[in-house]
Amino acid sequence: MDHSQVRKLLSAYMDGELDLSSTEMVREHINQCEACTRYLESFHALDESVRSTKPEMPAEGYFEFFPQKLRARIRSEGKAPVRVGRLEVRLARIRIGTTAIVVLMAFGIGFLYGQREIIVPTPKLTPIPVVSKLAPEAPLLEAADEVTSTAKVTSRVEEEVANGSSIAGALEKEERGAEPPAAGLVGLRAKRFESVAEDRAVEAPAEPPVRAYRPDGLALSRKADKKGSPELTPATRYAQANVAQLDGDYSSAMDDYARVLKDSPGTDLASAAQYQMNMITAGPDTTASIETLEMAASIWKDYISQYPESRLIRPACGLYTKNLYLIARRTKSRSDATKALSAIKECSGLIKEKMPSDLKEKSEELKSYLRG
Amino acid sequence: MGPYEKASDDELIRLAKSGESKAFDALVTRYHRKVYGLALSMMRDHDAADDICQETFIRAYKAFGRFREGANFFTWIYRIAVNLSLNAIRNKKRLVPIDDLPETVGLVASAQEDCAERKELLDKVNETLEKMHPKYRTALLLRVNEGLSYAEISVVLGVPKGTVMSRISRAREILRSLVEE
Repeated sequence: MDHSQVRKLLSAYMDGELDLSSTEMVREHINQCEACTRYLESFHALDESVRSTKPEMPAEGYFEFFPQKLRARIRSEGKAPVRVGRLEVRLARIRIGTTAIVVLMAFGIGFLYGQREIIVPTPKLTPIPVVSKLAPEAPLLEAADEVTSTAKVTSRVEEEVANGSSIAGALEKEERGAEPPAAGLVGLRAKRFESVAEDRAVEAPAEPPVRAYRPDGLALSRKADKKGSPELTPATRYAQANVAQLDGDYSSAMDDYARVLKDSPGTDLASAAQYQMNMITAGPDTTASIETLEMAASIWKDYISQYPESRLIRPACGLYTKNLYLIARRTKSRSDATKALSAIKECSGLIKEKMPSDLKEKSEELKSYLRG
Repeated sequence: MGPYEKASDDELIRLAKSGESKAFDALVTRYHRKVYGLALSMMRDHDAADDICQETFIRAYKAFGRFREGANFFTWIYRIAVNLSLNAIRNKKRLVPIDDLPETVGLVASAQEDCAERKELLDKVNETLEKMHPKYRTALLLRVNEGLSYAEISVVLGVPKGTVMSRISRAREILRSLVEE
């Protein structure tokens, strides 16, 4: 074999892709030929350089949430035929009522490099759903797979109850085992999700609003301040709040979110701000102002009174009562404690099942405080 | 997701086709890192890689009905990702010049190598890859970065194995001649 013949085969030889006889011939040649040996070594070195120019993979957090992000996107795009048992269901686009709200998943992970998405982790790095608009009676955005999974969830819950668990306890167990955003909503689905495979069109936003608000929002807001503009737009204020949240300045974030809610009520942006607020206030280290907590509670109270039959009634009640409870703990005022306790009682009636255990604990705590 | 972790690709595909969404999730979990790595390798940009990775699985999800059971899911999904990446490249998504890469890009350098020379080499390699015809670059990256065999690359690219061999060889020759100028 001469040099030119060998060099044509060196690449495949290096990759172990030659047949046995060609491999043997090339090996025999390079054992005796320094030039071809160096040629092969240069290929190895260049391969290593090619590998070196590849950007590093993102942090594991990106991959952890990727499947959920993908499902949310698949649902929002719709029109994928899925066979469910013997029933073929088309994932439909669902029509959104103008005055209704539903939870979508929107999350992201801040990347190490360059631009970071303002899809911000919560203090506990859990996904941040974005509240969008949906008629409360419309099915959640898991049309086709809900037909089978609803039946499964229902039978699991019924089994738990038969084994002595309370309904609320069984539902909470399901919630813990469910992936976000199902957590918090499985209980409702188990009881009410019978007719999800209906072909309704809902205009879900193509992308969660929070994705649109990148660091540019902060730059814009700073630019606006610098130019002496009296007011930030709700969008830039939302972006500013996102950045504050990312930086751990929850107080500023909450105040900005509350301002967004006040300035643009009933919009997707306001819904997203509301949810961000509640994700922050759900944590034990909230530094939100009383005014902000009151605004958050007020918004959920309005929702509960407008849509008492909504599938979101359980998480809505949870958030409403939690905000009031946090206010009572902060102010240590008897009237606030009484207000929180009344809200818990009211919500227990709405949920129509045994009181969830965390609400029960809060209720006991408030009663004990009021007695003492 | 316990029961799905041990299931084969064929079993997961069968379940996913019958509407078991967790089976599809399991497939995504199994392959999304590799798909992302491939897209990143080709696009050199995280945002683009993220878009392509998502789009790959969305297309796979929608085309499940056409996927022949027994075929290799891995090469099938890679093929979708490669095609999407090539389309994106054709739409003038540029590769990231070496200066824009983060400092955490791993550099293989021996203690004796001069860092400036190494950087210069990487600059040239990157520039050469950028200028290289996509058919050669894709074949090379699938082999070098993704570790695919020639047979797998042949399926992903939809060309004969001999063509894969000649494209990779040609890509290496191009790199060698330009880098060593």
